[in-house]
Amino acid sequence: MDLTIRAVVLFGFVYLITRIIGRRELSSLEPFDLILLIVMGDAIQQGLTQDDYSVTGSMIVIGTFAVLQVLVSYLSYRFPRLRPALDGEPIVIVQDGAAIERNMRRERLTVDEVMVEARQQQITSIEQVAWAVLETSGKISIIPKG
Amino acid sequence: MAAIPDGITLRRHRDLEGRRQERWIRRALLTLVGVVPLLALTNLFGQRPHLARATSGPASIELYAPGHLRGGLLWEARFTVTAHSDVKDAVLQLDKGWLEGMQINTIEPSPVGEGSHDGKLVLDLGHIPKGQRHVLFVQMQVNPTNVGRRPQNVRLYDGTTLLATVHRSVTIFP
Repeated sequence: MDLTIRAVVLFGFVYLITRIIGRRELSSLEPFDLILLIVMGDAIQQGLTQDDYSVTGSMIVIGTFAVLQVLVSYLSYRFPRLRPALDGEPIVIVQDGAAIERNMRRERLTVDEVMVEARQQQITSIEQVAWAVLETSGKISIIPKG
Repeated sequence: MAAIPDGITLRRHRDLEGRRQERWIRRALLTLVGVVPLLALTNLFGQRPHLARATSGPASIELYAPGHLRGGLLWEARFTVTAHSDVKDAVLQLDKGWLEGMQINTIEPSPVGEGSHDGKLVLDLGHIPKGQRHVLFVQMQVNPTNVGRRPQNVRLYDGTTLLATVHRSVTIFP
């Protein structure tokens, strides 16, 4: 019972953290972010199973996580009104070659970061961007001008 | 102007209509998350020890132990009994909260005797001559499933005569 409760609490906490930390921070995996992820994973594991080294314990925790993940996904699918809270919403950051400063500031994004994504699609100037959208995953979708 | 991508609504996704509060909710939640480590700095979640004392004519007892703990932590309680006059048979009586959901790793120096009285652990320290101190270390670990608040009063006896009582409790966080 204890393991399930701990798994539910930690799942909720990690979910909350990932929702409030900012989507860009989540999608970029710089070396420091990678280390941070490993450290977080270790901290979560210790709080989850503590001194329980049993296979049963691991199965309880993994099972709880799987069920919760499916539950969140189902809630998001079944109740569209919950979607913004559970998954977030995309934000338009560039329209017709012009950066929308207010939206970029809100997501702590710079034009340079948008251009990094644009260059990966062979776009050399922001003027060539029709739309840039910061997706809920933290990735930037670039749609070039026709 | 290029066509608006499917799934994008300018009012909602560009002008952020109806999304103004999102930012404040996020900030409030982030503040809430940030408050936890700040509270931890104030020792709210343990495990910094603090001193508790009780004195009577013949003897005094000093307890140095944390009042807040977390599951799985290793911790120590230090009992110092000072005899102001000859204490023939110093006995410590510990509430159930000292043992419930705890692992005792060691008690040093080992008491002369151990027993139980009315559900409480009794540690017989033996004779403490006038002016001398007896220091007892108890090294423990919290069981991960032990959560909540438990009484941890300590009574010091000389034989069957109560000399002093330290009133305290421990709060264990999950």
